Amino acid sequence: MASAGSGDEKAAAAAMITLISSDNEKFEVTEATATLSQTIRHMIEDGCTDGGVPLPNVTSKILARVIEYCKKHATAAAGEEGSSSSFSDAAFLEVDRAFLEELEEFDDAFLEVDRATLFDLILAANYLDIKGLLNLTCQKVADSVKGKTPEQIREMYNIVNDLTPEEEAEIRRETQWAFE
Amino acid sequence: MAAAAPAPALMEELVEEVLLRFPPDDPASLVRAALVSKRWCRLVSGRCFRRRFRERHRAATVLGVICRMDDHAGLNNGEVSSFVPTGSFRPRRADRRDWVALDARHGRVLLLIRPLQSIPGFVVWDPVTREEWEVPPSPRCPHAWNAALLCAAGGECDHLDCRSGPFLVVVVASIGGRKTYVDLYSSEANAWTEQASVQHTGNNANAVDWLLSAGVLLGNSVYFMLRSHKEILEYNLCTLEISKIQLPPVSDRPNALAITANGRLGFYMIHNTKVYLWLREANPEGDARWARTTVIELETLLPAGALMDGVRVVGFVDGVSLMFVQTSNELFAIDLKSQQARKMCERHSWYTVIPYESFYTPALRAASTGEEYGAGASRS
Repeated sequence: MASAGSGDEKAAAAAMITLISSDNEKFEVTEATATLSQTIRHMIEDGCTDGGVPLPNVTSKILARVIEYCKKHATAAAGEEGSSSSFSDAAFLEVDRAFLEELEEFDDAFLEVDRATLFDLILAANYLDIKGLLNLTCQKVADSVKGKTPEQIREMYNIVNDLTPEEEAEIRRETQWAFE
Repeated sequence: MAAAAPAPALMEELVEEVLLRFPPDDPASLVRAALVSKRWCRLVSGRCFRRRFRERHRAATVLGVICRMDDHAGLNNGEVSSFVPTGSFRPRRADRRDWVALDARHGRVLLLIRPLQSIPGFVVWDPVTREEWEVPPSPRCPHAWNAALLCAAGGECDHLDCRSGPFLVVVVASIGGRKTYVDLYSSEANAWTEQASVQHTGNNANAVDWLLSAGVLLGNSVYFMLRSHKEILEYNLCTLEISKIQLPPVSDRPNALAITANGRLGFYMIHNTKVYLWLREANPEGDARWARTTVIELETLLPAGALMDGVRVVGFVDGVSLMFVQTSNELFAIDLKSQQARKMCERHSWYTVIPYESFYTPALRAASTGEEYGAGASRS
């Protein structure tokens, strides 16, 4: 499902990498897409991608989403490079802005997932070392947490409060300003 | 602690990644996070988190300004240096009675005890960690007219986390006439050393001249505005020499404020309702000249009637282009990028405003019962 699109000879000619999810599904992606992951980039550099790259920490459902993200961002990066020679500076800036807007829209839509999927994406982004994806997903969680009270955060993330009442009182006393 | 549900699994492994992305201009959000659990409390109070938070956000946030003003509530009509917040952060002891705030840099504030008090001297104060360092008065210049607080590591330091490290205090003072002296205090040596002096021609400098404008640091030099001489005094920390920079003749109004903008030395001054920014530019011959670069019309930025009784530029933060102006009884913060003015406080008769830029991450005592702990509130 993740192989290069038909007609895209350039991509087809490029080196392909096979990624294998924890549930043993195989995904064929271009090297440009795969190397958005620093983890995979290092494996390619070390020449240990023959026979596919097993990713025992990532399910096929999450890996498909991760690949979707990497494809879009790899394409955008390639598009920017390609356009720079054929446009004037002003036109290039216009194209650049259009790319960025399109990417932003893609990212927003990409984050429309339930909390469990979002967390799995964070874990995958961390494991695969995909900086942009880790930043995007963590920022999404941070934005949803930053305005909440401690009680609301605990409820959202199912966290047990193990602070003693004394410790809690002390923290509140030390930082009274934060609760005004 | 492996958990079956995906939610706790994330929080165990990647809660730090999430908390690092909290907004630095809303410190209260990190405090609320600290109250979630022991683990979260230790995490945000930890040294590692503190370092990473700074590295991630790079530029310190303006958490407030320290306003020097007449203390009407005080017993003997003294002065008070008050911390006026710009966001959620509030320091303990926000009002420092009978202390004069002179400078703030890399998260610490330099306070001078008023000469009326028994022993003149300085305190270096960290409003975030509450640490304080006492600095004895300079033997040669006990009644310093102005001073700057600097990180002792200078250009070797990225200044992201040097707030509890060694520091320098540079004082400038005129003693009995037309000479100005510079003395330097090192916290590592806990000692003052006499530095250079420079002769003035014409009028004697007076204290009011000095204290209305904080020193600025640019490269290896610290600069102090000397208004009545239409000069900026430069003290070079490498060559240990003092030199004088003449201001252009236009600066004859007693309201110029020395600043740095985009890596250049400059000053702001007001004429009628306009603020003029002058910057020092190097020319091909190697010497520098002053050039007027920006004009800001305050009339359209401030509320109607705010300029009736005069206005003064009292502070500027390079990088975020935040300017503080004071009318007869109000203080405004003007964001020069968005061209928005915000009223910060109302007050009569204040002298100067020192922006306080810092990072805030909690350093909670409750966290220090565990394996990792923050800076705490120790005194050194």
